[in-house]
Amino acid sequence: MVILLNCSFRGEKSNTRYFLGQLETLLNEPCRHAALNRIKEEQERAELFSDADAIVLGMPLYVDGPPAQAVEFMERLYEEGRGRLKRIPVYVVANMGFYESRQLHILLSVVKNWCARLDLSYGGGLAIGAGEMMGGLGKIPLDQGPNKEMGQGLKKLAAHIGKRTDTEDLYVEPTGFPRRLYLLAAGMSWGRQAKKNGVKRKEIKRRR
Amino acid sequence: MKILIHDLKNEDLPDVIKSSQDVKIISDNGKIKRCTGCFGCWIKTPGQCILEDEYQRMGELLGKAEEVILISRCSFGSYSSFVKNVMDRSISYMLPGFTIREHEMHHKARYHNHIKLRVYFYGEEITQAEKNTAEDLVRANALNFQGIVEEILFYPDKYKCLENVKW
Repeated sequence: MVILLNCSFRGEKSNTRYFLGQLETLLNEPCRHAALNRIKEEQERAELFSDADAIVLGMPLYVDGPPAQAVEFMERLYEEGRGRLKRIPVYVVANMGFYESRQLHILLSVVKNWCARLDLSYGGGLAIGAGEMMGGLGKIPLDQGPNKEMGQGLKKLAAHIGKRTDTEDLYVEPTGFPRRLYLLAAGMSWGRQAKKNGVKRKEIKRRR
Repeated sequence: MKILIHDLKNEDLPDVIKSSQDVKIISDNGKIKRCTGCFGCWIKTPGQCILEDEYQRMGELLGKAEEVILISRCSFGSYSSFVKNVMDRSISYMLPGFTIREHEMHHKARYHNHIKLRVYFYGEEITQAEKNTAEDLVRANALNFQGIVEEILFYPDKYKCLENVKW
């Protein structure tokens, strides 16, 4: 069984959960979703590994690295599980709001370093740029339009997970959707979101 | 103003720092809330986190800082979870809008200052791969926050680390 662990604080509504769900559709074996938000006890952390043959960590980028709650999870497992964890391959599906997926390399390196400390096999990661946009394209098939590159990445990662083999890290961005357009669209969306909260556009720049 | 963000016990810090009027010390009070990625600090209460605790005004504090000293356990090439949490809670220092810096997409600056960043990692047998990751992380933070990296150093334990911090 493959455990798909969502490390986003936004839980079920997160882009991270969406990407893990897309990966699940490409895996031909039983999968179980788990949410880091709900995992509190040492036993629950250990069970993630004892129940699984492979684990996929879904993570959003926070300030250039894994979110603090994911770092805490890794710290706790390192303290509790060193030398005792079942040696299963660890894969990553990472995403972020910036366009360039290469900005996710630090997050992937942290997981890689953690695996090395715990003697777990790092199976490879899929880094998804422009995640805020890609997370909303569920109605477009994975092999079409802006989803094409991401779809290929998900398929490649799924194939490696199926065989429990390692892949180099995969970096994907929207297909045929240039950065300048993404920048424009993403920039405009903040004003709209603020307005919904009764915050005027110029108030967004407020200094305290 | 200087800001010291650290994951040690306050009693480990030198008295001269604890009593300094110029240094704002950010320590682990055991009650820090986690950033939920809600972006409320950008679109609900711009410039301030919506989570009510001692760390709510990190963005504002950084806006007044000339220098930030980070002392952190090196957790697999990341800051420790506490120090990372403080960084995660600091994004209101920047604006939500985007710009291109060094050919990459980043957030625009809310404030005009350029923070000097000095980072001291400690931990047993930090590997070369972890050091490389940690250096990349600090440099990426500096680029994102429009700061300047002054130094990034690694020590085998917190005592050696504290002996070598340039206060």
